[in-house]
Amino acid sequence: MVTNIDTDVELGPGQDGPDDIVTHEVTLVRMVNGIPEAIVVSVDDSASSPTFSVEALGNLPGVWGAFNDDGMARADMKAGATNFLEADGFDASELSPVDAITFLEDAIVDGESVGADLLAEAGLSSMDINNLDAESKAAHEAALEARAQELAASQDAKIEDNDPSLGILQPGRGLV
Amino acid sequence: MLLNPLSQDMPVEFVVSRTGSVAIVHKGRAQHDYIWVQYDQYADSVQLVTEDGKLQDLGLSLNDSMLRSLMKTREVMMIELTDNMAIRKPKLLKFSALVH
Repeated sequence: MVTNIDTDVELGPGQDGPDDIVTHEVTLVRMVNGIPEAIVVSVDDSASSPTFSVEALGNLPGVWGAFNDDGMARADMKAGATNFLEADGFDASELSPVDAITFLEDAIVDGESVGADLLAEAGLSSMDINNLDAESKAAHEAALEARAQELAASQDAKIEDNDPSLGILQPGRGLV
Repeated sequence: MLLNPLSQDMPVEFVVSRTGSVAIVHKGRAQHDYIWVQYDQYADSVQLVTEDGKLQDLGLSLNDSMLRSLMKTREVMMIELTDNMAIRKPKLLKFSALVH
């Protein structure tokens, strides 16, 4: 899974002509192994094409939200950015079974379901990390630990740099 | 183009948590690649949107409690279970309520 996007995006001339270029730093927030992860991309928001807009980034599969550099959430539904980012090697829809199990944990703990009783049939009806086989449980715990360390290191670096962008990640809300 | 409901093609379970985590679990390989999930309140229908723009109803009725939880989410995980009930190719899809 690609976890970093570091690219300047050129989307063509703005609505008022080729000089109408506005670039935003956009923070995408998505879940990786149950932990929110922020990705910052640089996006030209002034393209005349409505199919490539900063709003569309918030609707990528796997992305919980997109927030531009003034912290505003962008939620308009537009297509197109998926193809654009996938062309850059970004595939947010690429998930592992461990991702799925982590996701299901929350859905099953206090949720309800309708339809075929597939989760019970699969032995997942009382979803708990202890129900995972040893390999999946180890992978799950290793992923959480690695991500936690990565986040801690990232936060420490920001503190040392006195980075004003330091914030708290919340799923669906981004940096707050 | 409206496709046959997914639940008519294969066993499907729709799971919603109170916090809005949503999963669509299906047993068997879907015949289409989905890019989006939406809820049409007028049709009272959860719909899958395919890559080529077709709509497929989930074919399951949700109660009020599930609908309230569904409205809290922004994404749905599609999980395919194989014949031996192994998880295959889980995928996150964006979710939105359909605006008429």
